Amino acid sequence: MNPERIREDFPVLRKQNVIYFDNACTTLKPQQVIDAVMNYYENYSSCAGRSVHKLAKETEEKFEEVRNKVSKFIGAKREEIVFTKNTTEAINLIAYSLGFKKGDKVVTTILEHHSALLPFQLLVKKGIINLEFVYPNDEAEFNLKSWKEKIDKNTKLVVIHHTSNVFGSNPPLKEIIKIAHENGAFVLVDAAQGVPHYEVNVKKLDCDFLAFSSHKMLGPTGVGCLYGKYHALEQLEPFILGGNTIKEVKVNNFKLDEPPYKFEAGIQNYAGVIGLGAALDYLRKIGMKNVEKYEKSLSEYLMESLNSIDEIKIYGPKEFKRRCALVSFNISSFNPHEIAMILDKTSNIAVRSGMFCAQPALEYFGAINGAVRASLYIYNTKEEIDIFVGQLKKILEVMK
Amino acid sequence: MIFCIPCSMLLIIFGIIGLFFPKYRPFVKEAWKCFVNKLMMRKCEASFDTKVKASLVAYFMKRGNMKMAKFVNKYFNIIVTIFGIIIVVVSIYLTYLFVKWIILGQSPCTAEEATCKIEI
Repeated sequence: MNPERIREDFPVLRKQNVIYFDNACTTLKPQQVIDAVMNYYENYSSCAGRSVHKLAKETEEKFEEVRNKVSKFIGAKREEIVFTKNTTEAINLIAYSLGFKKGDKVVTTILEHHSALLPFQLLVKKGIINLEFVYPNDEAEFNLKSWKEKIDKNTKLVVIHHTSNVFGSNPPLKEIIKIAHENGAFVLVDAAQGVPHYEVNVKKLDCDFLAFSSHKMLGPTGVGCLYGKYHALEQLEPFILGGNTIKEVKVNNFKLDEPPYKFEAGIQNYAGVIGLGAALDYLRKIGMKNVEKYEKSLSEYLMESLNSIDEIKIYGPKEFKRRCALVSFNISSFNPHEIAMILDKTSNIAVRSGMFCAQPALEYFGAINGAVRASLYIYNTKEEIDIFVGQLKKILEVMK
Repeated sequence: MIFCIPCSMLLIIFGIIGLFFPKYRPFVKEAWKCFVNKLMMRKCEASFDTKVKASLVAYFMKRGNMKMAKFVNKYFNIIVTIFGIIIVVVSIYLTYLFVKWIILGQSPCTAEEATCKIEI
């Protein structure tokens, strides 16, 4: 894998001369993805699954081809892939459609992204479910004992992240899924930070549902995917209805289509989905094993470099092997937004600051004003890390 | 309410500058929002005074003037407060002169005099 060669494919890197370390928020898009989206709009822009003309057929063909690509990418069957707007919508779909009854229990962690927390908090407010939390240790990692204690026969769903968007840590997913299944519970994995960075195989994981977004893996914004075991998808009711979700409609009745179509109401984001296809091709060409390996080397270097700053507090696992190339930190008691803004204005370094849509997680670890997060991807280099850490040291010198 | 001072000062500063330069008017809105948020004890992601401070510190850092960056970082609130007070005083005085000029017509200056005397 040659990051220098990869960087040439990203117009933003060429035009903006930016050090982009905000990949957990969204990644940059390679020219191939931009071309695929443009090609749709310029050459065959139409809608799939309805009209019979050749433009519509081409759109449908390309759209369904991406469903195949996604399914292969995560080791699923094509009919198990539902296109959504993003991970958030995919998680909400499960929260609204799983058919929770009064007294059902949902077990999750305090590290979840707001989008994996709020839909279930709403169900608690409505008095439908009980929500229980598993707490991590000092390094934002979990032991199985606490999961065994929380998951019982009343548990209907376990919601768990694949990779934390705050700490870059990975919970022991396989074991948690096993415990959940032994108790008859479904498992929903929020893999928004997982699928873009790791080789994920849903069959090996044995999760029931898995959600991820296109825009965090080089694809366009506005597209997400929900994987669901087919029999599990069959049990779900769609939470929006409209064109393409039905087999037949009478004045007083209708017959729903099979999954995944019953969940994809109305005109879809064809350009976005086709762009996602190009992003998957791009990543597959590199190879997810190579992506993982390269990111581990970046993670090691980043951790090593950041640890050379005395006043830094890094959240999450101390060892680089137990995290992806994502590091959240605070320096002394300095305002994280100030650090992020100075990095941006002095060196064109883009990092995220604040709560990262995971306020309970950061507050649990004492970061009440949030933190700074550097999240790296395939086009980032060790030279960029050097500039970043050098600049952090300068900021520290000024702010001390 | 001491935490409101930088934002209220920035509101005054940009309010006055914004009268003459339209490009600064969006900052007035932002400073007002920041002021109200702080007054109401509402939490905001990055307050306006933080943004202005970071911009100033970055400005000096980029030019290699680390001492000045350090100084601004340390005394930002005091600098803004002093600047705010100066701008208020100057504005009041200028308004007074303007009103006087409007009421009295031409100022009583003569070409021979080095400065214009204004009788209060």
